[in-house]
Amino acid sequence: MSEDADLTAADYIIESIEIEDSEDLNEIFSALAPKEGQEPPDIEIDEEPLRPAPSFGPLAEPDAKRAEGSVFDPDRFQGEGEGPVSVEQIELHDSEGPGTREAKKPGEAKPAGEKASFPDLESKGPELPHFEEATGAEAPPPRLSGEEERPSIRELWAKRQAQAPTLGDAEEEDAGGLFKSWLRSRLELLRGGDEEEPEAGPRASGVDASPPRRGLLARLGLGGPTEREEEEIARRDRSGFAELLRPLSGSEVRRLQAELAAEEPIFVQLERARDAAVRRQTLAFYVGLALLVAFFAVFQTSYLTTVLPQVEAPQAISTPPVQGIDPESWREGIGALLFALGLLLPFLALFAAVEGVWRLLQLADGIRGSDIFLGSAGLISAIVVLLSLAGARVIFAAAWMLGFWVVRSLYVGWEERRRDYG
Amino acid sequence: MARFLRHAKTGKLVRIEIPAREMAEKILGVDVDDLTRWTTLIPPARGEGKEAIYAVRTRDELARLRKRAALLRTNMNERAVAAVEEAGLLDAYAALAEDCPPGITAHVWRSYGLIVLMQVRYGKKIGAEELARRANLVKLDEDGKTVPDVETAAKHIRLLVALGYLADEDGRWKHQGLPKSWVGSEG
Repeated sequence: MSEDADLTAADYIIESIEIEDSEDLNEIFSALAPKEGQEPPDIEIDEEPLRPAPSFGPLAEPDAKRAEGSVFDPDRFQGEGEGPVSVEQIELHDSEGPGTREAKKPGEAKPAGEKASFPDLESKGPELPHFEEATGAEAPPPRLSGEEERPSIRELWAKRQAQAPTLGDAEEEDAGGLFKSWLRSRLELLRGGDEEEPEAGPRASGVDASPPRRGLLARLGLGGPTEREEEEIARRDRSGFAELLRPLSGSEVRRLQAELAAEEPIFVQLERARDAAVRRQTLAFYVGLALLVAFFAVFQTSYLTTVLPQVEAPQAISTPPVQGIDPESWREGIGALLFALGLLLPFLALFAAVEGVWRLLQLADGIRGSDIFLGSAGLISAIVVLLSLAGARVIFAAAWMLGFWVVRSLYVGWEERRRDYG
Repeated sequence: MARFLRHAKTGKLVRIEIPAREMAEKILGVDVDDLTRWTTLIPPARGEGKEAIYAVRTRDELARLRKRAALLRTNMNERAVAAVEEAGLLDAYAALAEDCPPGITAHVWRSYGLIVLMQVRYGKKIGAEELARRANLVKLDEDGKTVPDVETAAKHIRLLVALGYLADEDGRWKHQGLPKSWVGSEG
């Protein structure tokens, strides 16, 4: 980029183009856009400096690619052949790429009356509910572009509807994805939009499209209304349908539209709902954690003082496997190893139990096999290990815990591979 | 007529400059009067009003401007759209807004999508309270507690019914299909 720093107006070419739609711009970008990191500096070609475009949030990109201080003299761009830079006009046709553009002389404009755009939008789509019929309001005036008529938003909408899948298509497409989308949507509350690539669809819109019947944790108040509450909601909704379906006058509709146009942004409402859900789950987790820690404190007190000191090496390993090792030292070594294992295992069990509780709490956001498996396996393993330790069976507890960690690691690894590579 | 500036030696693009009217009508699909009002999110590079010139440098920038315009067209104000973008939800709501028919906002269109989804998927005709819960339409009550905003949900349904997008038919919501951006996005 160092040589770009010395670029002058002579190093640039300006071309004029007739744009039909944004696809034309995309074609230009495809053909001419520099690779990342190879962008030439932006440059001023008029006296008034360019204003930078603002960027927000995760979609923002650095806007520091603009060179400063090199202002072109606009007089140098007045006509073909004047100075080292020439002005060209080129017609960009829809079906032709930039490589086949036909150069035109300056001033050679499009024939008068030729429509510039939207050749495929002339016909109206299927009949739609008419705004004026429904509202009593007048239809919006046709929008003009200079002397040319361009399709109204209604026509664009009609075209989109015509191209959109029918209800049958939607039902068909939706059927296959039912379970997956249900799982995904239940996770939406906690995930929000900031952890993953933004995408379209119900999940990204933050709606809960889970089945009407709720699971066990939901009944405990951790995942939305219980089944009984849902029935109650449905009953209240049924009684309110008459009011919802009451015909409205045009002025009532306009008032409704005005009210809803000023509605709070959806994401603010989503955040508020998500915060409430997160608070509820976090509280449940910390309560569970406190109970576990209290239990372990009691367990450890008696375990460390009475059980662990009595742990002895089993007969099978209490003698050295080969000659030349002092049997006393061997027994002491085995005893120390078992003592260390006995100290470590309760903490591993605590970890497994905490992870198990956390995984099971995740079920409030959607039923996932991994959460069920790892959650219950963690809790069961913790219980088995603690019971074994209480019975001074350190080796069995260690073997169980080792098996659990191997299975857990394999499962988590497989789950990650499946998530990353499908 | 738009013009583009490119590097003479490498031929690489520096930027494309587009007059306001072309930018509005051909690129963003909005009224030029509207475009000239959105000076914060879609600022002109030079000039003002209908004489303004807009500059686009990359395909991403073009896509971002189109998404902003799609949301602004639904009556959302610039501040709200900027906030949506900061929250990383621009793609989702722009996709929804692309489908959004005249007369209703993206908020209401989202509620429509959910009502249709519940009808199509589970055969359940949901009402205002369930819509409020499932669409996370919430408000703070007098105690500062988050509660479903049933009143707003009812307004959404009333407007959708009044404009003919929803109708009652034998105990089902008669509708016009899922929003395009919701179909096939969850497989």
